Amino acid sequence: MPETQFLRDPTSEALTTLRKPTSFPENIEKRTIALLDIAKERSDEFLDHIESKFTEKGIDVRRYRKASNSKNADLHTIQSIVREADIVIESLAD
Amino acid sequence: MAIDEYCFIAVVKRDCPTCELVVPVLQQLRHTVANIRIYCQDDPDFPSIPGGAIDDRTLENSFKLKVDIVPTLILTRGSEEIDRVHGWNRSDWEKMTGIEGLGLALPPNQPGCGSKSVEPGVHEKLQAVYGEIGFKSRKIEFSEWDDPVEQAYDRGWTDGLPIVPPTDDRILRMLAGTNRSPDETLGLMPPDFKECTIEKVAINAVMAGARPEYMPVILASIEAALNPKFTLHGVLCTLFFSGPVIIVNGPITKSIGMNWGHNVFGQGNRANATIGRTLQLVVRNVGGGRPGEIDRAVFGNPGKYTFCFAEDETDPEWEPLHISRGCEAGSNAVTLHHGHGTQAFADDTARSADQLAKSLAMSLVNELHPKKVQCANIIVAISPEHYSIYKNDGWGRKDIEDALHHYTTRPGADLVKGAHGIDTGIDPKLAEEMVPKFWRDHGILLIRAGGTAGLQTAIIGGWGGGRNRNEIQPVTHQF
Repeated sequence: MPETQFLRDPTSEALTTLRKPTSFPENIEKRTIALLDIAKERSDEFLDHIESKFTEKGIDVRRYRKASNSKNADLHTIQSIVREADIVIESLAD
Repeated sequence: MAIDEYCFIAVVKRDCPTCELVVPVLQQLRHTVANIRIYCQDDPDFPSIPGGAIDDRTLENSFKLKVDIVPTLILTRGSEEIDRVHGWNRSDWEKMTGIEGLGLALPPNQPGCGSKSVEPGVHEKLQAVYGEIGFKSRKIEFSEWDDPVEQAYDRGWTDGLPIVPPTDDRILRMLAGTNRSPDETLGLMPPDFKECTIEKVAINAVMAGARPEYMPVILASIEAALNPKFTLHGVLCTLFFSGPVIIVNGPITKSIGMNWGHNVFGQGNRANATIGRTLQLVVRNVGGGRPGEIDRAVFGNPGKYTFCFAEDETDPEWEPLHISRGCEAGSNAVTLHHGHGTQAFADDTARSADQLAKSLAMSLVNELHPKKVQCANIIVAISPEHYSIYKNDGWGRKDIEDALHHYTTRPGADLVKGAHGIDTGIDPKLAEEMVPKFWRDHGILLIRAGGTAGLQTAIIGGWGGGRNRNEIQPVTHQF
């Protein structure tokens, strides 16, 4: 008769919490939009275009940029966006 | 000595000639002293004397008494050990028991045998059952009828291949491969940035099938991977093919039987296979870097199961990779590269070093894209037969590196956007310049490896993220 078996957990033992994304806003008037450039080639071109479209409509836009596309945004950038903006648009590129 | 205040404990096994030898002495002691317990490790009917022995085939008592050699005779008072002798030595036994004339028919001295409780693999099993192990990782208990290998699959712990179940005795054995504390943290493992302790590494090393003596290389590989210059988070979440490739240098490669020769990038060597696999399992299990989740590779590559090998350092005239990257002579080191599949270069015609370097450069410029420059770093692995061509012309590491950089530097006019009818390309402003293909300081990692027959060189391509030269680099870690 086999005995009870046990193994040791090789993981970080942190359960992943699935979080639902915030639903899209019904309108963007009187909101501040953060345009986050992930620092990949040509992402700024895309964001320049988006910014001009928003500006034409009188929407407040602020620009942010990660130091590198290969690393997480630094805490300062993340906190600045949280503090200063209501909506984030993050650009990919290539 | 008031002998009745004391207790004697003898530990023996039948499969020991010295234990057989001392049977008359044990019988003499049993007649003479008030309190003697005899434990036998392999046969409850041995020794066949009045009062017999206590069955210790579980080895619990042998383990708790810390017996290394049988026979062992221990003198205790209460729970306190006063003295012990092992093997047979008449004067030692007489001195400890206070009884003269013990075993007069025996030779005066005969060494004992190893205790069953310290046989390879046994001690850790006993430690796991009867000892204090102090592991922090949680226990995963499951039904007695379940297959532990299938349990590991069900919990998402594997890379697709079966794992060795991480039981406490195996983890203890793995930890014996390092002097470092299981509690020590090597850093925060991306992408979840969770603490990576040596205990967690040992668990994953067990699962990968590693041996304890690989632990120094495994730990060095993880420390190198966690160096911010390596940007592990980036390489594991990239769309690109790449994953960590580990090059091992130094005397430890021979000590643990690594392969740098025939089929060096292929299957068949336990150290090569399991060191690389451990790093990948740690990334998966501790860091949470799983394909289809944060690992967004379009294709990946087979090296993401494991890609680890040693450099051939058998020619004393060759400067090994780690020495060229600043490590001390005689040291061990790992170098981590962001690599993927192997590209073959076969030139069986070139007979001069310059011809061969020029010919090889034609293959190297195709890395990533023929018109892209200063993006991916690469490994160039020279086989012994190709190396002999360089060596015959008096070329060493620096000569080969210089030639490869020289011959992969090309006119900008051939590389700019639109050149040769191809839109992809470099900035047109560089049309009049000579443009290097690789970063001069770390763009080409030149090594020797491979089997002795075959005019071949291997190219292990790199991650396009290498274009960010200051933040994404190969990393060498001495240990």
